[in-house]
Amino acid sequence: MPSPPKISFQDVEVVFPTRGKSTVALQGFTLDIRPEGFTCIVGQSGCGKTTALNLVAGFIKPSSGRVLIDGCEITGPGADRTVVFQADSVFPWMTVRQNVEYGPAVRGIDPGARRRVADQLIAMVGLAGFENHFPRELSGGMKKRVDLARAYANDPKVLLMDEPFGALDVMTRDRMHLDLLRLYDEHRKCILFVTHDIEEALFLADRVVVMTARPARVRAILDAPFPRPRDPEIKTSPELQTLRRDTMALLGKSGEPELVEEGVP
Amino acid sequence: MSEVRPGVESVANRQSGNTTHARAVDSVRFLGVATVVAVLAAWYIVTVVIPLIPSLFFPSPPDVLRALIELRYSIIQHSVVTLYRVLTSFSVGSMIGIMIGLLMSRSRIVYAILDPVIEALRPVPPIALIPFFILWFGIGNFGKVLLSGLGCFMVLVVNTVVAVRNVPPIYVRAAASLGADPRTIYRTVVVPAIVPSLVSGWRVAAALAFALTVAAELMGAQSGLGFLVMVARRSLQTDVILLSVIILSIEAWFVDRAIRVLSNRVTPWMERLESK
Repeated sequence: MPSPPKISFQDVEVVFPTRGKSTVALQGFTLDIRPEGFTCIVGQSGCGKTTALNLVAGFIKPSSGRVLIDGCEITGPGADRTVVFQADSVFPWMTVRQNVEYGPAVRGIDPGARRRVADQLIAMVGLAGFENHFPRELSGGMKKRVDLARAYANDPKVLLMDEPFGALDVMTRDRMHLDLLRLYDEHRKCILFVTHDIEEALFLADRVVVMTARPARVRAILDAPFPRPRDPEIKTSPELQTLRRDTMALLGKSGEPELVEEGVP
Repeated sequence: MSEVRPGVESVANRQSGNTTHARAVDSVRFLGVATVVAVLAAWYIVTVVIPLIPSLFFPSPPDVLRALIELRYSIIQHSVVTLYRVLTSFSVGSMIGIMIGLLMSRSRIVYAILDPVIEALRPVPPIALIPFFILWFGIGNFGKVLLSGLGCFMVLVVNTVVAVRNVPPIYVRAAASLGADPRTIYRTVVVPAIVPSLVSGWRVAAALAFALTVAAELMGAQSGLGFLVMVARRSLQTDVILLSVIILSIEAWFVDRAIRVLSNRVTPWMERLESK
């Protein structure tokens, strides 16, 4: 009995005008995201993964086709779809706590309640004691934790993650994976996660959507059949490595590799 | 929580960095004081010890001191008047400049209306307007404050519009996706994000306020350090002129210092290479 999709891309096309000629980022893109679960979109650099995510975030509009959340067309950014970006987007002029409380604060949640939520999430991402620090006093990984806590504090319907750990070093990234999975296991929030790292996708997600090169369509959808909570050992397991090779092959088939800058408007 | 450790280390490093840094700042500050002393000594030497320059062309420290003692009451009065004009025009002018700048970057319509006017007036040196201002407003406070305020206004309008344009879009997007409406984004993201770049505008505007106020006082006034210079010039009292210049530079230094201290206090979150 499949439940209605949380997010639904229906025959979406996105065309960017770039220097006279236009670039087709997405074409005939159709995809349903389940309400429960962790979905990763993988694809080559510049294939239009971020474009797909930006559509859900409401930062851009499709040239044709529709993008729906809970059956309603997305018209602009909203608190029900919080984004965690690759680049550092933690507000440097706010303390850690002010950052985490930002979403609830702008939505008018009373100070006592939002403080409880913030303190709990700050503790969960291991930043207890840093509540009153400014981001300049934190390392890159710690800032990313603030970003995660801030997104969760907002309690969105869906979390959108645009290569959130892409700029971190390998060790920090591995720790962030476990932190994110811990948050995921606790809240079971619908996550749409974009990455070009197949191993990351298979380790984190329930479903991995493989995209073709630009103009991007869905090439295949794989299941990552690993039990939760996920053990870090899974990353090096033969099963994951086999899946990784299969996914690689799927990505490789997608026409001539085009290594172009990600199509951001 | 072993994963927090790298961060803790980085914070600790920063703090230990600060103490060595403080020592460096101390010795640098000493250098600054030494320079001032050296300049004063050189001045004393070339005017008194081996009087290379006639005191009419360049008054000696004792000359200036004598002028100070002679004029002690009126010099205080003139200094206060000039400082008052500078501070009033600076604060009012830059405040309005920031507000108009924010309005212009908030609304395309306001921008379309005001931008041509501002761009047409901006290249005009306000000093050229002094005769008109005297004609229209007389030689009292109002015309001078208005002139200098206009200069500060121009600096801050342009500064604010550029600063808003340079706010990283990622912060705006992050705020929008956390549920902030455009007005809230303006208040909680755009305004705090531009403060650091406004500081340089404030410093330029403060220096300009001194220049314009003194220029206006030179052209027509009944008080102020510029007026004092003008009167002293007629009777070749170069010691009074130099005294006025020194007082102006001290006042300007304190105003600039105050802006710096104040701006450091309102942006404790800023990453700074050195605590100036």
